[in-house]
Amino acid sequence: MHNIFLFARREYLETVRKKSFIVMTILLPALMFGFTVLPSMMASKKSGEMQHLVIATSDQQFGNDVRDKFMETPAEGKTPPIRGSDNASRRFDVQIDTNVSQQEQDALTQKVNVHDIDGYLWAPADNLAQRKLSFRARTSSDFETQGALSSAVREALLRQSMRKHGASADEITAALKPVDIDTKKIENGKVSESGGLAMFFTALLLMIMLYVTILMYSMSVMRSVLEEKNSRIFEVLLSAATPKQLMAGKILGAAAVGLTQIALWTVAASPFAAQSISMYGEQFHLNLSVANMIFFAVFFILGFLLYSALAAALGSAVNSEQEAQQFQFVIMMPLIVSVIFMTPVIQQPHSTLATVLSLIPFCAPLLMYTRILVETPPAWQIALSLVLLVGTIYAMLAICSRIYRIGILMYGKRPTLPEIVKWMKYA
Amino acid sequence: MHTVELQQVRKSYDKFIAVNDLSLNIARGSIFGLLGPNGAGKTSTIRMMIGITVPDSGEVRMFGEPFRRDHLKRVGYLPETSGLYKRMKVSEQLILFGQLRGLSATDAAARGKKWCERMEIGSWMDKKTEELSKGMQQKMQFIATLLHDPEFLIMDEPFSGLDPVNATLLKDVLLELNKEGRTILFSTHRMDQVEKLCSSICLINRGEAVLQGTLKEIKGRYGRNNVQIEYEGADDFLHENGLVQSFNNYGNYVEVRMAPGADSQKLLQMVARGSRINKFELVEPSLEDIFIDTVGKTDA
Repeated sequence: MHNIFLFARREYLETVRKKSFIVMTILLPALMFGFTVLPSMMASKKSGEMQHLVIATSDQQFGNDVRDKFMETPAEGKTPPIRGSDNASRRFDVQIDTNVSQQEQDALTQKVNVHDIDGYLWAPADNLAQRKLSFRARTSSDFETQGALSSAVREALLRQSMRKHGASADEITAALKPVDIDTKKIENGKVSESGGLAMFFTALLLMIMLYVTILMYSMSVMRSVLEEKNSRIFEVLLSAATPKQLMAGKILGAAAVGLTQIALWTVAASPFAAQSISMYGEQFHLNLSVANMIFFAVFFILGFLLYSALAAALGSAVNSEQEAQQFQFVIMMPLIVSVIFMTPVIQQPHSTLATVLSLIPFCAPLLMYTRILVETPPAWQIALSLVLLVGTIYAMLAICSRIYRIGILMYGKRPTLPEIVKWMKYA
Repeated sequence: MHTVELQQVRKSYDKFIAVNDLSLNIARGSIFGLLGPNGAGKTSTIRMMIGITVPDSGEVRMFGEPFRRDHLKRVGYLPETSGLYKRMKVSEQLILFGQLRGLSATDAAARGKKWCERMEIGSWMDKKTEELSKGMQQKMQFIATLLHDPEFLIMDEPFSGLDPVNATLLKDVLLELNKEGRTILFSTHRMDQVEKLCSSICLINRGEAVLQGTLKEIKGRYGRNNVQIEYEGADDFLHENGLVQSFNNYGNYVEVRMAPGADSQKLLQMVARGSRINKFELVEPSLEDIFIDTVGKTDA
C-alpha cells in the first residue's frame, strides 16, 4: 500500500504542477461555453445591422398583417435579452409594395442584386390562393427569417379569412394568442425546478464534460505509461515495487487529478448554477445540483478506472504514440457509441434501448449518468449498473495488469494481438 | 555463504531461449563479473535474480534463502539504461527512491544529500533531472541505487556514459563498499573495465555459461602464452602458422596468441628479421582475449 501511495502522490504532484493542467482546467469550461452559448449570442448579435425587406402583394391589408406579425416575431416576444448584454432582436425594415407586375418583380430582383434591399416576399393574389409564395433574398440559408415569414404569412391569411367571416379585431387577436407549455419533470413526487429544455442542455453539458474528462485522463495515463516505458524507468522501479503497485499508483494518482479538476469546476460553476442561460432563443436554468455533481464524480471515477486500465495496458504494450493510435480507437469505441446514443437516451430515458445501454458496463458511466440526470431510473437499475461496472473494472484491472507487467519490459517491435493474449497467460 | 545462487535457471520468450539452464554462485563479499556479448542473456539473468521476471524453471536463492520480494530491500540495482523521472527534482526523486526502499523521507533526504556531495553533484539537487548531463544522471542513478545501504549491488554497465574522471570516482566508491563487505555484481561486455576489479567471473554466451571461476584460475588455465609486441616494419611474422594461433593487430602494436607448445623465442627471432622491436613481452591473456577466444569457439 505504501508504494502505491508513493506512486500515486508522485503522479498527482507531477500532473497538477504541469501547465497543461491549469490550461485544461480553464480551457475546457471555456470551450464548452464557447460551443454552446456563444454561437447563439453571436447569431443574434450580427443582426445589429438593419435588414430591408419588401413584401410585394396587391392586398395592402394582408401586407400590413404580415409585416406586423413579422416585426413582433421571431424572438423578441419570447426571449428576454441576455443579462448584461445589449443584445437586441433583429432589426428589420419592411416595406409593402402593392405593384405585382412582372416588371416590378424584375426590378425587385435587381434591387436585391445591387444590395438596395436584402430580400422580397412575392405574394400576388393568385399565389396566395394557391398558398405558394416565393421569398427571394441574397442568402437563402437564413432559416430564422424564413420561419418567421412563413408563420407571419400563415397568421395573416388566418386573420384575413377570420375577418371575412365577420370576426372583430379583438376576437381575432384573442384567438391567435400563443399557447405557452411549461414543462417540468416530476422527481420523487415533487415538481422539479428544471424544465424540459433546461434538463436537455444540462444533461448534454454534463455528459460531454464526463466524456471529455474520462477520455482525456485515460489517454493521459496511456501517454504517461508510454513515457515511462521509453525512459526505461521501469527496470529501476521494478527492483523496488511490483508492476501492480506501479499501475495502481499511476491510475489512482491520475484519478485524483481528475477529481481535483472536477472539484475546481464545481466550485467555479456554483455561482452560475442557478442562473439562466439563453440559448437558441430559449432560456433555461442549468441544473447543477449537489446530487448531480456527486454522481458526476462517482461515474467519472468508475469510468476512468475502467478506461484507464485499458489505456495503461495499451501504453505498456506499444512503443510510441503512433503505434498506440489504432488501438486507441478500439478502446474509445464504447465511449463514442455512448455519445451517439446520447440524444435518444436523454429524450426517452426509460426506453428499453436506454435501459440496456446504460447497464452495459462500458457505456454505463455516460449513459446511466445521463438517465439519472433526466429521469432518476429505478434504484435497482442504478445499483445493477454500478455492480456490473465495478465487477468489470475488477476483471479489466486483473487482465490489464498482466499485459502491463509484461509490456513495460518489452521494447522494440509492436506486439500483435495474439502475442498480447499470450502475455495474459504468462505466470 | 553465497549472496546469490542460481540453479539451472531457464527463461525463454516464445522460441527464443534467453537463458538456458544457467547455474552460478556469487560468493558473499566478492566482486563478480557477469560477462558476455550484447544479447547474451545478462540482463535476463539479472531480471530473474531480482524477481522482475520469474524463471520458467530452476531456482533462485538469495542470502541463503529461496528468493523473496523483501530480499530486495537489501539489494541495489543499477540498470543498464538510466531510468529516471525527467521532470522531478533531483532531491525529490532521490527521496522517492529511498522511500520505495523503506526509508523515511527525512532519512532519504539526508542520505541523498551526503551522496550527492560525495559524487560531486551536490549543487544540482534542486534542479530538474532533465537539466542534468548524461553523466550526472548516471551518477544520480548510482546514488539512488545506494541510498538504502544495500548489501548486494548489481551494476549493469555502470561506467557507460562516464568520463574517465567520473568512472574512477564511481570505481573508488564501489571498491570502498566492497571493502566494507558488500557483494558487487558487474554485468558488462567491456572486459577491460572489470578485469582489474573482479575476483570471479561467469562468461555467458547465447544464454549459456561458457566459462566460470575465479579470474586467477581461469587465467592460469590459459597460461602465459600471449605476447605483446610493439614493432616498426613488416608484419610477416604474424603469418607463421606454426607459431601464431591468432592475433589482434593494431598496426604498430600486436597481441599474439602463441600456438600450443610453440616457443616464443622463435617468434622473437622472426619479428627481428623484418622489423624493429620496441617491446616484446610475454603476458597472461587479457579477459578480452579469453572472451573472444571462448565465444569464437562456441560460435563456430
